[in-house]
Order: sequence, then structure tokens, then C-alpha cells
Amino acid sequence: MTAYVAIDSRTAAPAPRPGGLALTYHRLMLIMLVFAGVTMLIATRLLWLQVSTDRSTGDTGFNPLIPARGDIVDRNGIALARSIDAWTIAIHPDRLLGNPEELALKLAQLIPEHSADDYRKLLKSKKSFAYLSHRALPELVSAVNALGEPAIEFSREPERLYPQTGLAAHVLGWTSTEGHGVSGMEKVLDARLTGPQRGAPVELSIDTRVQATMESELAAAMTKFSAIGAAGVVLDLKTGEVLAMTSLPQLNPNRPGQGAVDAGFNRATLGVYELGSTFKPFTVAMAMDSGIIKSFNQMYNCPTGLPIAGGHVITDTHPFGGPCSVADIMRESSNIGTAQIAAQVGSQRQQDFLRRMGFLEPVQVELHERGRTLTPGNNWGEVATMTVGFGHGIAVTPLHLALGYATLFNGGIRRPATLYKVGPGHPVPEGTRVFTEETSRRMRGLLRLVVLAGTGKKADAPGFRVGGKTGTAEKLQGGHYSGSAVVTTFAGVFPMDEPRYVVVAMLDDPKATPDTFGFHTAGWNVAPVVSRVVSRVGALLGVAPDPSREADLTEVAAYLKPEAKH
Amino acid sequence: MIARSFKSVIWVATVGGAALSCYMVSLRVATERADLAKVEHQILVAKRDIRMLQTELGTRGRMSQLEDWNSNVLALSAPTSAQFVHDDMTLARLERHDATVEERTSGDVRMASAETGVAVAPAAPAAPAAEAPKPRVVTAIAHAPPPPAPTAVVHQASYTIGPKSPLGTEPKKAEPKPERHAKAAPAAKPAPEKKLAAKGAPDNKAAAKPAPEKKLAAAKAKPAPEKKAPEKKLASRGKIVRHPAAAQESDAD
Repeated sequence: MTAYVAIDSRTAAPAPRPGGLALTYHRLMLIMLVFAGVTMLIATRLLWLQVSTDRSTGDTGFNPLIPARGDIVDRNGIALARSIDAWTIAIHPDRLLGNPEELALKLAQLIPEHSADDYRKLLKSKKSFAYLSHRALPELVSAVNALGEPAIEFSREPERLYPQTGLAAHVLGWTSTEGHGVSGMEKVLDARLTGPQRGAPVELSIDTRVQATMESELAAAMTKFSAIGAAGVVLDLKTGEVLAMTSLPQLNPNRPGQGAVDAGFNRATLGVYELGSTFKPFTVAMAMDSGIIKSFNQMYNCPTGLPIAGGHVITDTHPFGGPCSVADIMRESSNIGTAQIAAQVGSQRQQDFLRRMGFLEPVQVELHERGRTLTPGNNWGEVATMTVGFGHGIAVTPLHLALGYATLFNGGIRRPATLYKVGPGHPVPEGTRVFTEETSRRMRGLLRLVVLAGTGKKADAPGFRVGGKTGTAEKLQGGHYSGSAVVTTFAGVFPMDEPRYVVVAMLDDPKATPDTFGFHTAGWNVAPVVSRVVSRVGALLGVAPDPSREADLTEVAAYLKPEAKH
Repeated sequence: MIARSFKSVIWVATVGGAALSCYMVSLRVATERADLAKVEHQILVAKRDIRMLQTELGTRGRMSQLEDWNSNVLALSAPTSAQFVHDDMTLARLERHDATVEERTSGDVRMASAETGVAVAPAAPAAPAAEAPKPRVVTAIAHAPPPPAPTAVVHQASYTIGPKSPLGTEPKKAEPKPERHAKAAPAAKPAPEKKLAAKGAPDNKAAAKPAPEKKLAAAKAKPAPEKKAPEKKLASRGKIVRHPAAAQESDAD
């Protein structure tokens, strides 16, 4: 057993100096103060953070669900225009690390919109920024990313997308790359779509299904008859809502720069055309309202040619060569008969009616693209009255025509066309009376007659009681009318026993084909378009086809058979 | 005494504990808040995804595309006015008129049905063959062997090619039933009809007349080769079933 002895070193330590202890306390105090200070600092900061941090995220600040530019939807809520976050590829040529020659070649392969030379120029230009591709597909983005060039930048930027591509392109218009509306409703609604209300979509009156039908049928007719353009309008005649409005050739608002040169031109509201015989019902209605025509059996003298002042002669395609009644005139679309009725109405009264119908001013609709009506102006004498009576010498837009028919068949009340869905915030306007209700009602039978037994037979859609009028007008070419180029129009209304919708279809310069037997008149090329459109969309619009129903034909019963009276 | 000297320590501990628990509560709240914010963020992301997908769907299913498919692929067209019905009477008239047994058998038609599982007592002993021109229905009721479930029998009869199919034995047990008139035919189960339809062709008996619904198919007579095995089995039964007077095919119906 071994014993150890520990020597207490403290005893060996020198005695502390009297002043040394105070100094130690002093130092200790200092260190403690420093610690306390730092702790206080941290605690204060924590408290501050606790108080100042706002945790209620979502209530304030940026809501990613509100798009940069508001949506536009159709009357059933189907998106017509949306903003999406699209990939954008850009490059900073001044920060380029790789070999510009190689990179230019690779870029030209991946993004073939520009040539390798263009890219080479761009890459050597020392610019600070340039876009390579807007709205790039993710595959392209990853492929470009794989090039490994740090000067290439990828970002997501809001882009305007039109999911229905060309559908209703002229109604919607399109936006510039800066995101502002350039034409159509995009322009009209620019402030609304970028303003604080942009979270809620704008509802248009357009019905996508009707619009698509109109576009496909018109496009088919346009191709078949080699027309240079076409326009179509479907209008709710009681509210003035435009359910479909199209202008062909087609335009893709996603790429507004591409496509035909005149694709941006809205033929339905900006283009003015002499719409020919489709005006005749207006002339007859004016005469009825003025007390000139009391019955559709009223007779006029319809020679084979009617000489008018200025050495011109009005002719008919189906000359009567004898007396003809008002119903005959309408059924066979007689210029001679209508000219006489127009002359009876008189220049002043005709202008007055046309003014009240809104035909002498740009068409009433929200779009900025509205064409100015061409009228005889100060030269509105008897000759002009007669030609205007059958739709020559006055050029209006197809939408004018649709509105005119709406006025004529909704009981005689004119309302402006609207591209907004009627509802709260967009009430149906009061409207102004143009024709009497009686005239409006009696005209139904007359126009139904045209489709049942006259020039518009091919516009009939079984069960839908279509009524309407064909119009074939020669186009002014180089200052004079040439028989070769025409504008054919059909203005139809259905169902004629209780009119609800107006359908106007127009073909610009259709050519004759073998199955039209060499004719290029409206009854052959554009009337079938209306027939097909009505039979396809009628039921969608709530008009059930019913062969057992028919318009009131008592006034025109005698004319239903073409041979019945001549 | 001890308590008094530890008083300050206890106070410090109490205050410290209270502060700590307060802090814990606050921390807990903060965690919950953070979770909530995360969920809210997820909702936002999901909504954005929904919007994006809806946009994509809308773009892919745009009207012009649908129209292309409708006209070029599916060959669909808008309903014509004749396809709209306005009142109950017209609707009732639309009901397809199925031929009654009398009408069906106006030609020389044989019908058979197989009831599986349940033994049915014959209504009457086998009647002698009636005069050939007189249309009638001959119903054969085959009692399936007990082990396989009735559905299985039907199934295999239709689709199994294997030689060990229970159906292979079935025809032997089948007893020709006396002609069962009128009401029996509409009650004929679809499966037996199918069997019979298949039966008609293989042994090329001109007489083989399947259920009226399948008449045309059988009349064309050339069966697909892969159907042969079951057909033969059925045919054997068909022989039993077939009425001696079975004669000509008739398409009259």
C-alpha cells in the first residue's frame, strides 16, 4: 500500500495583491456587460422581427392567380384569350463565353426562324440583350439549355394565348409584344384587361360553337367557289348580341404577322359592300310603313328593262315582261319592281329610314374597326333612290345588314349590336322604333316566301323556318361595274314564325362552278351556307326544328308555287 | 428553512418555465402558421396548374380541331330536323318495333334456348314434327352439369376453345324439348342465341337457322376459322335441337 501526499499548491501561491482583485472584478463586469449587451441586441432583434413580420401571406401582396392581362371568354365561359407564362429565351451577346460561330450554327438548327448568319451577326454585335424566342416550347428550352452557354437566359414571361387559334380572331383582335391590345376587343378592353378588375374574365356575346360553325361553313364555301374573302354574322335580333362574327381569310391572333396580307381586315365591320338585293325588303317595308304598299298583291308594271335618267337601264335576271305583284318582285328579286317602289317612297323618306336604321353612319358596335358607309351623298336624286332601293349605290358593312334585318324582324326596333354578353352590367338597350310592328310581322311571310319558292330556296333548313333574301351585287372595279366580279350575300332570319336570330353570310367574288351551272349568284353559293349554318346551330341556339310549324303565309299563299302567278 | 434559501431559485425556475412554455406556444403557432402558408401556397400552385392544364386542354380541344375530328375521323354530322322529337306520341312511335314470335317465325325459323342449372320439366312430350311450312319455335332446354356455375357455362360456350370445356359434354345431356310456343322465344337468353348464331355455319347445313337477330350473319355462312372449335361443339347440340323439318333458310322477317 502506497500513500500519496498531495501538496496544496494554493498554500504555495503568492498572496493576491490588494488592487488585483478589484481589477479582476472590473474585467469580469466588463465581459458580463458585453455578453448582456449582445444578448439584449439579439433579443431586441428577435422581438422586432416578431412584431414587424406580417405572416398573413395571401391576403396582401401578389396573387399569382390574377393574370397579367385578364381573360376573355365566350358567352358560355369558354376561354377565347388567356395569358400564360411562356418560356422566353434571350441572350446577352456581350457576355458570350463560347464560340459565336459554333453557337450560331447550333441556334439556327434549334430555332430555325432565323438563319445561322443572322445569329452570327447577333452574337458578334456586343448588344447587351436580345430575344431569341418567345413562347418557346419546354423541349426547345431544354435543348438550348443543353448548349451550356451562360449568356443565354431563360425566363417566364406572360404571353397572350388564343386557345381557339383563329376562331373569332377579328372580334378578339390581338396584342402587341408589349402586351397591349392592337385591334379588336383586345384594344377596346385594354384598360379593363390590365386594370384592377382583370381577375374577372370579360364575357363576350360570341358563342364559340356558332362561331366555329359559321367559320367552317364559310371557309368551305370560300374554297369551293374560289372567293377572295367572306364574312358572316349571327345576331340575336332581340338583344343585338353578336353570337358569331367572322371575316375570312382566317387570321391567327397568336401569330398576327403571318397569314394572308388582307387577313387582318375585318370584312364584317370594316369592309363596306354594295349588298344588292338584300336591301329590297327594306324598301318594301319602307313603302308599307309609308302606306304605299297595302297588300303584297299590289301590282307594278315590270317590263324587261326600265330606262332611268342618265341613259341607264335597270334590268332583271328573271324579267317578268308584264305586270307583277309585290310578292313576285320579292320572290324573283326584281330590280325593276323594287326601283319603282323606291321611287314611290322617295329620296327624302328613304334617307330618313336609312338614317334611323343606322345605315348612314359607321355601324354601332364596340369595335374600333368600323367602316364608313358609302352613300350617294348629295347626289341622292331619283336615280340614286331607285338604285339604293335594290342595294346599289350604297355600301354598308355586313353587320349593318344584320342589324337592319334585326330591326325589321324584331318588331321594328333598332338596337346597336353588342359584343358583350347581355346580363347584369350589360342590359338590353331601349332601342328606337324604325318600322311599325305590323310591317315587321307582315314581312315575315314575304321573306319566308323567298326561301320557299323564290331565289333563296337553297337557304332553307328543314324544320327551322328560315326566311331571307339573296343579294348579288356587281363589284365596282376601276370605277365601273363588271359583271364578272360579284359580292353575294344572304341575309336570313329564323325561325320565321317567331324570329330570333339573323344570319348574314357574304362571299366576296365567288366564281361559278360546274355544280352551280355557271351561276355565281347568291342563291347558288352563299344561300347553302346559311342553310347549313342554321341546321347545325339552330338547335344549339334553342330553336327546335319542327316541320309542323310554319310562318304565317296567308298573305303570300298564292305565290308559293312559282307557276301560280306570273 | 431550505425552502426560504431556495426561494429565489424557485422563482427563477418558475419564471423561466413560464417564459419557456409561452415561447413553446408561440413556436407552435408559428409552425402551424407556416404549415398553413405552405398549404395555401400549394393550393395556389394547384390552381395555377389547373388553369394551365385547362388552357392546354382548351387549346388541344379547340373547335377547329374538334370539327376536324368530327368530319374526318368520326364522320359525325349535326342531327337533322327529323331526329328531334317534340311530343310523347312521337317519342313513343320511335320505339323500335321488335318482331313478335309470330312475325319472326313467319319464315322457317328454328329457335332454341338453353337453360342451365335449373331443371325444367318439359311441358309436354316431344311432339311430332309439324308440317314444314308452318312456322314454329323449337326450344331445347339443356341441363348443364351441376358443377360449373350457370354463368361459367355460358361463358365457356361462347369463348373457350379448349377441348375440356364443360360444354363439350353438355349437348349429350341436352334433351330435345317439345316445341314451346310463342312466349318462349322472347325470353330466350342472349347467350344461347349467340351459340346458335355461331352454330349455323360450320357443318354447312343449309337448314341451320339461328335466332332471327343473327340471321344475316349466319346466312353469310362462312365462319371465321378461329371460331371453329366452339362452333362444332354447339353444332353437335344443334343437331339434337334441330327440328327434322328444318329446311330452307329464309331471310323473310
